[in-house]
Amino acid sequence: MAKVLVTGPTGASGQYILERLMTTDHDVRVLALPDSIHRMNFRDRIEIVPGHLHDRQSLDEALAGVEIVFHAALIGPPPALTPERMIEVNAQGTAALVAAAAGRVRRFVLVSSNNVFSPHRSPAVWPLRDEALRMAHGNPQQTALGESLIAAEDAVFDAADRGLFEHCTLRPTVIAGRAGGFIDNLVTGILRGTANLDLQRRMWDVMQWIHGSDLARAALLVAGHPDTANRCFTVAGDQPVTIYDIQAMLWDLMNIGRSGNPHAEIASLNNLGLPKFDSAGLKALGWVPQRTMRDCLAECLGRLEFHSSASLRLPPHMVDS
Amino acid sequence: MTSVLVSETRSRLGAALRDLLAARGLAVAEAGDAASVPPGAALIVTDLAPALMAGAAPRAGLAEDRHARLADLIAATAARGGRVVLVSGPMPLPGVPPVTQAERDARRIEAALAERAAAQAVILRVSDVMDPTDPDLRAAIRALIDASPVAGWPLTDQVQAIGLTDLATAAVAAVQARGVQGKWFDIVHPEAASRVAVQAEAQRIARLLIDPEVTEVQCRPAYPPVTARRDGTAAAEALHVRPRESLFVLLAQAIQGMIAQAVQQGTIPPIRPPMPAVHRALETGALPLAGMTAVVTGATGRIGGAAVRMLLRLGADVVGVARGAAAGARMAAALADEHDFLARQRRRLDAERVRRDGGAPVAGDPGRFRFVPADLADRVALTDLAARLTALAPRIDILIHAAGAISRERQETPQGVEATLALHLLAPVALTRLLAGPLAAAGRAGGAWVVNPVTEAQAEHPFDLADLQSRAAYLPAEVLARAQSGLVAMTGALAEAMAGSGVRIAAVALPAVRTPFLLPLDEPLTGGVTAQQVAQTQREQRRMLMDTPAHAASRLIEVMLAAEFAEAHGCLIRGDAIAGPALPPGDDRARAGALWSACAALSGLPE
Repeated sequence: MAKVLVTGPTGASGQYILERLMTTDHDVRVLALPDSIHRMNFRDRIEIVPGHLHDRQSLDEALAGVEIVFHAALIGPPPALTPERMIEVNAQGTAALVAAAAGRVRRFVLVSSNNVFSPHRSPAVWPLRDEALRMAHGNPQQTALGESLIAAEDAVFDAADRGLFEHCTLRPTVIAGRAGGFIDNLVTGILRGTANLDLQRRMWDVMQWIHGSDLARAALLVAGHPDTANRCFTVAGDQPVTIYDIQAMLWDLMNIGRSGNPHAEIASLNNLGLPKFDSAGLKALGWVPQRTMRDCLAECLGRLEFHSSASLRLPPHMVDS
Repeated sequence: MTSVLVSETRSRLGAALRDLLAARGLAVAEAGDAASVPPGAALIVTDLAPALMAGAAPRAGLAEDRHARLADLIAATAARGGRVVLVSGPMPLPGVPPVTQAERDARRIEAALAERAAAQAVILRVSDVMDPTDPDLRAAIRALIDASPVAGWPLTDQVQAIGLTDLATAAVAAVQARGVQGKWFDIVHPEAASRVAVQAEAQRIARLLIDPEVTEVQCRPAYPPVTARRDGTAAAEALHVRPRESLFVLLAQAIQGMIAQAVQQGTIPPIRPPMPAVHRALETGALPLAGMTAVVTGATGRIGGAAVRMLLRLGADVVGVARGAAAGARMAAALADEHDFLARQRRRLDAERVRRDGGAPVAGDPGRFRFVPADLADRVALTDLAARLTALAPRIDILIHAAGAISRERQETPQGVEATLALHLLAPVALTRLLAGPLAAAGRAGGAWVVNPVTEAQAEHPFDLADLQSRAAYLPAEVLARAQSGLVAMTGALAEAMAGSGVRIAAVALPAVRTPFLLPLDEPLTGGVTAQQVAQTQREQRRMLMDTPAHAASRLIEVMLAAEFAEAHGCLIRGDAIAGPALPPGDDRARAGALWSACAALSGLPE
């Protein structure tokens, strides 16, 4: 079967793409930072090239004989990142990978983000579609992230334009799963009562979380599909939720069997019920998200409980206090 | 797997059931005649359900022959061991008679049909079935929003609805659930609302879904609670399905569909998310500045460089000016290399726009860049520069003064003028005046723009006529702020001088931007390694709050492209709006006049 390369194989999306590839016949190779190899899954079944995106030699080694690249080595907050770092990894790193892969690989699957889209605050312009216009916006860190991602996309689009490979660009919303730093912060804030829910309602507006496994299924689907060449796909879950809905769902999860959720009312008042994102392109190919918000939150609660469990003696500096 | 027969699939419920059953992998068919009922097949009867939308033409009662056919089907199904599910009308509530003829018919016929099923039928009772795609429901909601007296829905003072998908799910569950035969269940969503609340909410949602400019969080008002008349919990427990779609969500879906349909038919224009003109032009490959020439000082800086790149992408040829010749040459080489990339990008974005929105393709390429080195603080170099620029560009459509430099100690130009003043106030004013010819040529042709970026701090540090050159205490940040405060005032003065020439000038207040500009002012870090790391992290955190250079540059260029800034001549722009005249009428004109004279004198220009 085809040889494929995954960059960022320990990241939020990369680890699920790697996992999904284990169920196929592909020969899998990963390009990974040396510091991350010890926590790589499936080490006995994949080929590992230690290196980084700015090292042409490791890129050449990683790309030898590769037909499909899954580029998931893009970064974003949390944790807080400097704009210089985001430009270095997302914009320049992607450009370097594209330059090395040009003319060598058949298909380049880029895991970008819905952060590239212009603000779609008003429900009058929902759902946001695959072909929506892009614009970096938000607070300075979000703007810097958006700029670095748009630059990464532009490098990929240009190479595809010149016929050097075909691209499929995925733009997922919030990614839930094992490496869900953003959702961990969100849930922790709600559980501790430290989150300013009003502010967060404004900041995050309506979200449609997508589980990493669903994103991975989408990635593999578009990588091998004849109709997906040189197209962009929004990858979003089906359940539009606000921070208040998450609070209500957490209560439900922690109060199984009880009724009378005290947070249900404010959640209902804040949610029009209309989806903000529409993965129309992917759904036309037969893809549907399978993991629900409840699954994502239950997984997150399990992870947080593990980290704070008294029976697990983690050294103090590893336990967030 | 059980095969399932649906008594008719022409109605919305019938069609929804067929689709849902097929999606679940059940073999589904429209029921033929009684003889063709397979053994063990289940039958879902939808004919009894009252009109899903009471506002539609009242449904005639079930025709007699249809009645007979149904009766035979039901008997046959029951006889062959299959489950019978009747979707019927609501049980009358005490004091609330059946409202529609269809409901009355349903009550009458239901009893007869149920008896044919040997009282083993499962009866699902519904009243308000809301299908957001139903044109009759949409018409009724429209009438409700318009407060038309003929609004046929809601029928009573209270609405407790069930979504079509939820009802279909319940029907499928009724086919398979145990212990439900011979029983009836109310299939309703627990949430009920008064007619008044539904109308108010429909109107609120309609307003919301038409307006793309809404940025505030929109919350549904807490309408006075209404006790739901029907209880769907028995159904939920027995069938193990709970309705998911509440009345308000179904309402929003229906209204959203109505608006989408109106857009498709051309009744209302497409609703687009608001976007600054610069970004829209960049992302659609438009060339609004095609054929224009721009001059950007401070071109090798972050903001200047970002502005140069944006101007090129928008079609303008750009002449960049900065002090460092080597950096400028590198920049020119890099942009020359990048030209083909930008041209391809523009063509691709234009092609996407045509695919998405229609219209004709726009031909053209990004502009070309040239670099001219000059130290703007040096009066002689500035005069030379103006002459060179005038020769290079007989017409200058855009002039952006983005040059800036700051130092910890007071420095003087070769002419003995304080350097910060020379660069941030004298240079922009003098260069604008010296380039009056080329600017006016553009002004006559279609308009020209001069843009002066300033910091927010200038508002707090008015220029000091008594000590323009900061010979007293030298605090670099304050000196800069005072110079820029002077520039704002001079923007107003220049505006008056240019009135009627077609040349417009504005000052744009920018928040702190993440550039190396202020780095010379950073104190060297002291203390041990840890203390230095902490201090460095704090510095980094402060710098993280600063705007990106590209965003700042887009704010400067927005002045030339956005309709809301068309009247910004002589104004100070802050954020997305015109803050006011750069030289407010109430201000001391003598002071401004004195500053004008001082600038002229220091720059060697006439009054």
